[in-house]
Amino acid sequence: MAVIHYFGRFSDLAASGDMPLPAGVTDTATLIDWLSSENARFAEEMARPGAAVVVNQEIVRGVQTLTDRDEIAFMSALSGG
Amino acid sequence: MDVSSRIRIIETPFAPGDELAQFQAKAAGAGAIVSFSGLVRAADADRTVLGLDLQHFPGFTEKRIAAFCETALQRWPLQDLTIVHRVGAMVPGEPIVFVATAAAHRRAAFEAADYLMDYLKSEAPFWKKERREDGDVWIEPGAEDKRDKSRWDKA
Repeated sequence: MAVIHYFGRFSDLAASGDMPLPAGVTDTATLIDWLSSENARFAEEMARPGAAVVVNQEIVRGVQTLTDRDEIAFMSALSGG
Repeated sequence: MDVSSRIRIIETPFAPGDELAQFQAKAAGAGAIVSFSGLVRAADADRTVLGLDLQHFPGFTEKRIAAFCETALQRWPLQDLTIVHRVGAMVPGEPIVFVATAAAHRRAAFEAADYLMDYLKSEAPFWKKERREDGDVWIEPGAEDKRDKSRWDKA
């Protein structure tokens, strides 16, 4: 099971939790496509400035391969403290 | 200095006065202690704030805060520092953040506390939703927050 977290605006769209990676999802790009097909607002949020993907606590630049052992987080622009 | 042990992100209310007393007791011998307490504002952009919901990413948030604490330690001769940050649901007037620095002399303590707060306000992985009378709003750092942080890039 992968763990997926949603922070900020993404947390309005989905609840964080464990889930098996859907069939055909092998990397961050295909996961984003799958989540966007489930909810069109997901793609809108990914396009906003400051949106980021974090895998195993490291910010992803480009596309990263995923497995069911990964911790994945979708973050909207930081608010700061 | 083990920075990670000096960063606490908590879901329960805290008392800045108690935090300062504990910090001062640990910082025996320091010539200067500076502390800052941030409270949840009752209004933002002339709108009444009913409360705040603050999210963090456990592990990731602490790691990012530790990185700019390490920079502060390299930049100023600090004897000690501490950061306490509240997350979860809060109401106006409640303490949300406490920062304290200790040094031999005041300038280092003042500047390091100022630097840490500017970085917390603009770079720390927190997500803040304000509950206002006219609806909920996700907050992002404003122009003033970005200007404040940029002061340290030039120095």
